[in-house]
Amino acid sequence: MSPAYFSALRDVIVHGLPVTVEVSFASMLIAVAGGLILGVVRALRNPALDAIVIAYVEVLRGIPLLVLMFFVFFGLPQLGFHFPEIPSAIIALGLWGAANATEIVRGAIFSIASGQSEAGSALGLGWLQVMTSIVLPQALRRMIPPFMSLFVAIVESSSLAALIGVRDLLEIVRIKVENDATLWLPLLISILFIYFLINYPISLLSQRLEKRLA
Amino acid sequence: MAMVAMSHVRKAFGSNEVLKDISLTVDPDEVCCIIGPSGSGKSTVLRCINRLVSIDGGEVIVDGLSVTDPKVKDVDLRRRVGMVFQQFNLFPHMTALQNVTLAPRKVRGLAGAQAEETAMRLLAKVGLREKAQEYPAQLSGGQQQRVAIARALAMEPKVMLFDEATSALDPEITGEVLAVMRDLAAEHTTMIIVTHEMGFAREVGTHLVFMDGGVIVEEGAPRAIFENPQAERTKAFLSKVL
Amino acid sequence: MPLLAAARLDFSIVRESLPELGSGALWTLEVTATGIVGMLLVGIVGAAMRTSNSAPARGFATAFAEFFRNTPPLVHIFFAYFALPVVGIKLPAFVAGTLALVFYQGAIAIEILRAGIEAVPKGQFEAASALGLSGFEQFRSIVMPQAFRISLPALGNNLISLLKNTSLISAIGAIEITGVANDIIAIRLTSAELYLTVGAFYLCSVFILSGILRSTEARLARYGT
Repeated sequence: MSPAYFSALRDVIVHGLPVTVEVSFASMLIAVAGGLILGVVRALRNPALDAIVIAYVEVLRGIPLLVLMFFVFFGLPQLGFHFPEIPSAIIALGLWGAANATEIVRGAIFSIASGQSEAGSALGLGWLQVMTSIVLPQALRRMIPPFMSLFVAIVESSSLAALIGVRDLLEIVRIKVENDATLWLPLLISILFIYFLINYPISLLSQRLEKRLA
Repeated sequence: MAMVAMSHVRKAFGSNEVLKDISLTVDPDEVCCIIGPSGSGKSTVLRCINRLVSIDGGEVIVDGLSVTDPKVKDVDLRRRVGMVFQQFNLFPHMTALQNVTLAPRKVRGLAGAQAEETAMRLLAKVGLREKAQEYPAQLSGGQQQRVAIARALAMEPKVMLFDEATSALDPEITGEVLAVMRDLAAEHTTMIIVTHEMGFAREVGTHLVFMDGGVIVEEGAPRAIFENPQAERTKAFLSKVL
Repeated sequence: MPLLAAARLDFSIVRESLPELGSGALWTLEVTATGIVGMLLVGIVGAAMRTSNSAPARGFATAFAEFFRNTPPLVHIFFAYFALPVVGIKLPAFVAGTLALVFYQGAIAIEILRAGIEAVPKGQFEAASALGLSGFEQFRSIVMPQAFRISLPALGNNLISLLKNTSLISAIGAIEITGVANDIIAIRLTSAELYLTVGAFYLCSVFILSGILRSTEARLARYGT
């Protein structure tokens, strides 16, 4: 391994890793918040609200994240909304993540037997009380493994931000190889391992939790 | 020569000794019925015969082949031994006919037409010729089990094993399966049957074996044992089930 | 506010670019079709290895699957196109991109099919063994057909994911609809209309694909697995 590789790798990790982590965490927060709100909205079973949420989820899961990111960064300015690179990436990733999170939340809520909410109602609890005291506490446990998988997906998808100029792990690699194309090989292998070291433990933990909760 | 000769067979699953010391001889044309409480190891005995389970000690000789001999291949044993399971285990993505022709084609190497001819003959024998093109999901439990019997017979085995073949069936339906088994017995098929159907064991069986706790407690002619059991455990079991 | 935004959209650019967009769409479908075949091959072979009795086969398949599905497909694509030439393997963009996607989605398929195989009732294995069927024959005729049916919903999602991920190969210059749109935008400089149109193409494709998958599931469910 050449000294050029080591100095390039240092830059990649020092400058790129924090950005990857920042984009991933911020997007995950938006995704979880959005997913919880929209998932609970679907639990209301209001036809009009349901239609809106379903439309949102279907559209965001039916288009490539890359196209969404391009639209937010390149397309929205045309309509008067200018977002810099990192916020654009976080908005796109967050919206996409929220659509997936909505399905996770909805699935978890609906998997809690309706007998539970019936029992709560019979005791005189209102809808919101049933939701917060009985359904959600149980549903939240079931959401954890799929949310962990979602985080892994968000970390992987954060690499797309490099294509709109966000200086994350992948983009710094792209900058570093401008002077020496042979660095592509060691640097890409290195960031593949970094991504693996972040995601694999989370994947494993998620699988183990899933088995214990089953 | 005995069809199946088991001597001092031992088998443990982990720390659980399921078979402690089993010695059993089944001659050709015999209908050997094994009865006993759950967990006595009856199903394991059957599975030792066709190597679905490998034994820890002792010997099993099937039609002259030793199951402990590494030179004897699984397929050699399984071509001689047919097995019918409690849960039928029909292949759900195949029609009744396809279920029956699969092994003759793949294991015995029969041509498609020949396999089909044999299969249709056997399906007719178990009374299900018209159901040849149906899928298992479209058949009742009793019909599925009869197809399973035809499927096992298609390999022209020397001995047929039945592992509680009617236990998963509704009481009204067990009759149709027992009738097929009765016909097979009348044709001098060598059969080893694990069963809870005491009436069947008494009338069709030629050799009764009572197992409990991994050992054979008592064996002999069915009528003799049912009418005059010798061992205490046999008496206790029979008084509970009869 | 939204009405003002919509007023700044001019879809004539889309009308003018229809031929290029159309050809880009065909390329996307072609990459997807090739990808599906590759992904299923990798998935089936990988799942067979993953559940085999041979420890080295299991180990290799597990390592492969875990590595590829826990790392970003975009980085795989870059690796196939930019890193491999460093060791002398020069692949055209289309091949590099498709290969990378096949490995990524294939790795996911391995896990899906493995779960499917484990869901096949143990009695099926017993019955097949009792009939004397060899391990390979059991896998081919009894286990894989049932595992496939069980895995169909998850495999369908994987397929849709593949369709959407073809957009990533535009990053290495391979031709598909997102790349075509970006090329037009580079010249014409307005982008919102094109991205909306491209988005609509993907939505329609996903919708049609989902419909096909659901009717296939329904047809297979009739035979009751």
